[in-house]
Amino acid sequence: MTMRWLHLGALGGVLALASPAVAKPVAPAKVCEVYPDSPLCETSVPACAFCHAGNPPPRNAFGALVEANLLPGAPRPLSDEDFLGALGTALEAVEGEDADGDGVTNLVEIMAGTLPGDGSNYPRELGCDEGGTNPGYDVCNFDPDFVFKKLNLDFCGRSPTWEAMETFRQTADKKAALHAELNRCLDSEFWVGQDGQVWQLAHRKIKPLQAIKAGEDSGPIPLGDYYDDYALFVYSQLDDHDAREVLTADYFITRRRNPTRYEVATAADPIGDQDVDQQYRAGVLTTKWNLVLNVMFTAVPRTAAAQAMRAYLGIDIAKLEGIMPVPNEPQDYDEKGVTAEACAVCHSTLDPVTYPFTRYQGLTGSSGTYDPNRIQRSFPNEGVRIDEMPESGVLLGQPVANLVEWAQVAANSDAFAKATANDYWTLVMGRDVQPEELEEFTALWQAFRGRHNYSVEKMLHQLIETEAYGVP
Amino acid sequence: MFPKRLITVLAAGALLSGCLASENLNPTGTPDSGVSGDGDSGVANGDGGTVENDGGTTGPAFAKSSKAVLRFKRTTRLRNDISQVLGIPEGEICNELGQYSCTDYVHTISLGGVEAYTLGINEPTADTTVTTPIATERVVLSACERRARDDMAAPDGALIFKGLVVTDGKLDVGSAEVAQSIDTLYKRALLRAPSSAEVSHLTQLYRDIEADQQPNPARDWAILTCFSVLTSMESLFY
Repeated sequence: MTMRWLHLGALGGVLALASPAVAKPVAPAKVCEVYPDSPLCETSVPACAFCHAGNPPPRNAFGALVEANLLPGAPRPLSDEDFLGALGTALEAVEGEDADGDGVTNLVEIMAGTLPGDGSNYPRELGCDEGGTNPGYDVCNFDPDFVFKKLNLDFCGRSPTWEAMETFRQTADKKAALHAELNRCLDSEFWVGQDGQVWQLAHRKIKPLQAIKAGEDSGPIPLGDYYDDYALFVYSQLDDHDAREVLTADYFITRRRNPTRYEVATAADPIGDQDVDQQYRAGVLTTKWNLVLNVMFTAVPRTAAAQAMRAYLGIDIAKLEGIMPVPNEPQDYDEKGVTAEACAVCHSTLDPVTYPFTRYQGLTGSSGTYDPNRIQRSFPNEGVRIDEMPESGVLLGQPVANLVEWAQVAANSDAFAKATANDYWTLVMGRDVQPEELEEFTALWQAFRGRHNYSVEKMLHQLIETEAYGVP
Repeated sequence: MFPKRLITVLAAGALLSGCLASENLNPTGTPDSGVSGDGDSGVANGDGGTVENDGGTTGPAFAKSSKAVLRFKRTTRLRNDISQVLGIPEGEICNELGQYSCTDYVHTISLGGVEAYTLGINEPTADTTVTTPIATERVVLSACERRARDDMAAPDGALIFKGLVVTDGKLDVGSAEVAQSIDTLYKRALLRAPSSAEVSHLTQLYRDIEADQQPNPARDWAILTCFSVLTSMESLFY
């Protein structure tokens, strides 16, 4: 069995600081420039806990050590430019030290994906308990009997019966039987139905609110029908559908019951109250629900852009993730004060991400529609330069002319593939990707966007064969 | 009814279940390994056999999982499995006031579910809550009472406690029917046969109940046997 690393989770101690501590939102991305192969950079960028104790700015032991090597003697606080220019050197200067005193050097910890400032979080080599016996499980190898029961619970929502388990135990080709069982479960109501596992995966993306739901099961103030959003999301995840179409679809989905099935809506079977013209549609980004909930009354709907990145790219700007400043931004067209130093570092990324959303009506004008003149029509007094705000923007460093292009760039990004794979990994493992599982996770998301052609179900067939899933 | 004995079984169940503090537990190796030292380590092998450890003093080295992660079944899986094991329709597993599903409505959050539409709870809690064990035990106990009642009412057509001969509320605990009932329960619930130690524990449970001078020890034993197996860590986690 391959050697594995155990990730021990807990917060470490805090060292007193000798100089004013200031958080640098640009730091995580720089860390990943210096250590691109670190597992900490695999699904996003390092969390604040890499250098800070709890919430910034107080630093942990590692952060304090780096700070001491960061342009020593230079007046604080450092400018972002000076900080970024010196951070790489400071990181490299402390690679051989053990800031948190856990017996593992900072560099080894970074490359193992553990926290160099947390003494209780360090890579530990684990062997396999080869010496003993275990009548219940093969704890050193992929255990098909274990997987058979587990996948039934994960994907069918119930354990196999005694009879089914016995039949499987006697099966000659267990691998084929596992995949057949997975296929059966992937059609179950537990997986595809309303409030099923895939549907529930969309809760945090769609953020439903029954009080303002329109259509079936409508609330007292019906503004939009989020069932359309769920239907499109689930459809994109089933069979061999291209999961990217959750963001790029120019169609809507209808849902059939008993059993639940999802189909592309046709002209003869129009769907609900979706009003964005086809050429301006970008999957769930342009549904009436998404626009009502996230654009609402705002000229520059930063919430809509941030939520889209959080939900579908796994990038949470509110947590300083995905900061990629665009030159000459933010422009602050709506005069919200985002050019202030404390705001600009994030808004230089977020505002250009947001511009492509600005032509879609939320709760202004004709709700849930595309209007190229929305700003002039609905926000004439929002700021003296509001008319100059472009529809084009920048996402992940790439210029985009509009939201349709935004969705294409997002859907084709590594971030989308990683986030999708991570959704399902977390769902069936019940925890985040562990350092010792990173190799398999990387192979999974790369295959998802490669040979699986963005088919979630094919990815899941690969997932159940992983050591992370199949070794008890 | 049987408060003293229930408390005893609840305590035993808590030991078998470990704690519910986290969805992902790191037990010592297998669902049952927490009690392996005193002869309860008999878990299924590839062909359904068991391993005995008869004294609890020494035994063969036990190969532990270095990963050692188990997940709580949570609301829907818990309901479905109880339904499947006990042969009770899902909609009839524990209903508050006979109307509101314990798993789907009353204790949804406690049991690790979500309520996105009205409460905005879009993701389940990472850890189980302080009320999770209570809610779990309520659901299981309710279902076990139903199974025991139905089986006792029609012994020949019983699903689990089949053919038990009950005289004046008492069982012949050494009978083949009792052993068969335990065997059936284990296979349906845990997908394996019970070890002889486990059978011994459950027959001793009956003797303890009868010694309490309760009016219907056979029924109480059936309920609590079901309860103890379905609230074990091996049953609640996977």
